[in-house]
Amino acid sequence: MTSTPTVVIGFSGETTIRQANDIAERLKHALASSDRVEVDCSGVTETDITFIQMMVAAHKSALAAGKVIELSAPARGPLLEAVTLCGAENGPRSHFWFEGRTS
Amino acid sequence: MANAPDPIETFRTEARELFELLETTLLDIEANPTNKELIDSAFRALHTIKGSGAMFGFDAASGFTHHVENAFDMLRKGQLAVSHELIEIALAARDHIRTLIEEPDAASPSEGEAILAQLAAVIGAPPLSLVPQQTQAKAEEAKELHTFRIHFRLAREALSMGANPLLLLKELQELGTCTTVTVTDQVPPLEELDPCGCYLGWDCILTTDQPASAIDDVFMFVIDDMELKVDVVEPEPKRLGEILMDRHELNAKELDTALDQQPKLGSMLVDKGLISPDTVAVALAEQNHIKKEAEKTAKADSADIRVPAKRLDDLMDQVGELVIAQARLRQLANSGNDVHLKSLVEEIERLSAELRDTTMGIRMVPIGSLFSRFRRLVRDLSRELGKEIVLTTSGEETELDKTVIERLHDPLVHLIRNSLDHGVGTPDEREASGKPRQGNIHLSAIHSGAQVLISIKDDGRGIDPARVRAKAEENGLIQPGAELSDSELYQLILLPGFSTAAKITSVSGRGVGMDVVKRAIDSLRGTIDISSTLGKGSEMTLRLPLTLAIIDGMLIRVGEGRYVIPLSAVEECVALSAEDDLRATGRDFLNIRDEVVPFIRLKTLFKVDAPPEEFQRVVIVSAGDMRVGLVVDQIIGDYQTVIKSLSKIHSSVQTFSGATILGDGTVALILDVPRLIELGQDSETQKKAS
Repeated sequence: MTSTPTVVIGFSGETTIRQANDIAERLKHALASSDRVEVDCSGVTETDITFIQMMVAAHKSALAAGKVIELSAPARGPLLEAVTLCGAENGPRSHFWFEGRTS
Repeated sequence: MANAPDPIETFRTEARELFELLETTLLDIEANPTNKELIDSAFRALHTIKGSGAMFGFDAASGFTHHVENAFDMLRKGQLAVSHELIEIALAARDHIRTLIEEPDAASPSEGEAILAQLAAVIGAPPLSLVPQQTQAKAEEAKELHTFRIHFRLAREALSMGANPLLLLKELQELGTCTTVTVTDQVPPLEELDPCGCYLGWDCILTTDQPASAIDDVFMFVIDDMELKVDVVEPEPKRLGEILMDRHELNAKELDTALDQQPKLGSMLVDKGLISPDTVAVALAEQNHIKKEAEKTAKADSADIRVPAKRLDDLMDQVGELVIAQARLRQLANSGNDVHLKSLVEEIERLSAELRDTTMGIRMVPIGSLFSRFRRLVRDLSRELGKEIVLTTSGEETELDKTVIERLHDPLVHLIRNSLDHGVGTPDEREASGKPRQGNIHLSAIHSGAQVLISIKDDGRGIDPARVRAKAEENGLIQPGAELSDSELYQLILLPGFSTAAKITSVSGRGVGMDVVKRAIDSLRGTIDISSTLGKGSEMTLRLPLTLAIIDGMLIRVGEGRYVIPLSAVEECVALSAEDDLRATGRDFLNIRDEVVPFIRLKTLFKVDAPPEEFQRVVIVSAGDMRVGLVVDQIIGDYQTVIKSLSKIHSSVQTFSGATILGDGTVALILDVPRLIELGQDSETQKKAS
């Protein structure tokens, strides 16, 4: 498989239910255009579970298609707060949230 | 059996320990202002006092403590720095809380207000009020803990309706210790996802002291349209491996190795497609949560148990009776020829000796708990007197009978106050005499045979023998010009009505004290030695027996009567040959390895009318560095003795310290060795003089 260049998409400001449709479109687009997607969440100032849900869904889609999606850096700030409340450290996707890009 | 303990009394006992801990910790913090652990420990103590105080209805104490606790919370978070002023206020606050709990009626609200005002000034907070913070405190530490398994999932369109699961999770987590796992198996791939739908579910394992209704309250506003399941998790029974380990059939390492080789159940089930990895994660999280909670409980369970002192006293009495009965049994067995009986008696003897030692061990308390109480005394008094004095201690681990320790408190307070007031001078005085400005009082304890030596040593002015003499002559305690050694002079200080301090202060100098100390130490069968160097400092040494209840003794016979000499005082036994006996008549001295030892004929002393026997023995006994020989008719052997005190009618009898019951049921008197030595030395002086 010839590797396509990594696509980096960044989210900043609010990533709540109000932006949910937009965010979904951007994620879908990114996954369609490359085998490797990096999500930069460092600018996120407010988030809710729709965002977490979308990342989980994107992660599932990527795995199914043999692609990779990862965070540029371990979750922090408001995002970290939200995933911690959700109990992500005990779930099967803990490395996704807390390790970020490993390569 | 004793009545059920009064819960309030139990709380007070516990609180007393907390107060002691708090005081020590506060003093430690003062010396060590940046130690975070100490601050935490003070905070915890305050927190517990507040919480349990509210539980037992001490609302005023709880409300007051709340403010002090807040101040320590600020210290803990680094919002406030430790200052001497703060510690001063905290110590005053501790005393106030103590009054609120010990004698709520005696506490003055204005004092509380004053302390709070000072506290508010130091922490820069608005004035604090004394209104009890009931709701906050009462909810804490009260109820039993339960673990719940909570599973919930909101309706698909809940998010669009404005529900926020994160807030619900937050509320749940605030109820207690909570482990949360997100269940993601219903989240579809991105292409099929409705970005505004709610697909996630949550499993929470919550350990809380709140009732199940508190959980329902969290979901109050969304409950109509959601999936919610709450189960109580029962503590799980032990597993095979753990049971084997408990029974020492298997050690932890072997078990771990075996378990590592075994395939994990979770991964087996996932591999077979029976469950999803999410489900395994949830179950594992639950397992971990419960394990952690169980460890917490186990820690709390392994703490000490509290036993009423009365029960220990009863136990000690019973062991005493057992020791007597066992001695009678031995006597009976020795009079016959039954070998089996004799070996059984030996066995019982060994067991009862062990039982005696263990029982005495239970009553033993390290003296450190007593020493630490004096730190505050020295700190506060030296400030009041304008002196700089540090208290140092050593031998805190030395163990003494609990009763002895309790009865030592007041005498030691007197002695330390004396040192503070008369012994150590003001910084300027000290500097003028070439000493460091800071004075030192050293408190130490050490075992020495069956005795414990406790010494209070200061580096102050020392005792002036000339002043002691002048004062004693003035009070008519000695004849003018009487010949006395320094140590004899110092002993005069212990007489009633004696004080050399020219000026009476609030601390000491009223001439009461030292005689009270002497009486207290006498009642513990102890002695006080005083040594001093003028200008260098003085040292008071208390010699105390380890326990008051049982001693090892030597049984002797004089004429028809039998007596017990405490074995700890016995140095050696020698035969008194007929020539020695004759030669010594009228002179009563014995040459033991070129040393002259006076002796007392107990027969003469006890006015026994019987001719001297052929094989007399001399038991050399000692107390301090004085020795005296006691002439006896026969040494019967060692004997474990339960001391029974003499009745009030006989309290004036000086040569005996108590009585005991012998194997055949007769009574033997216990000789008071220090008094006999005094007697022996007196007769020596008299004879020297004549």
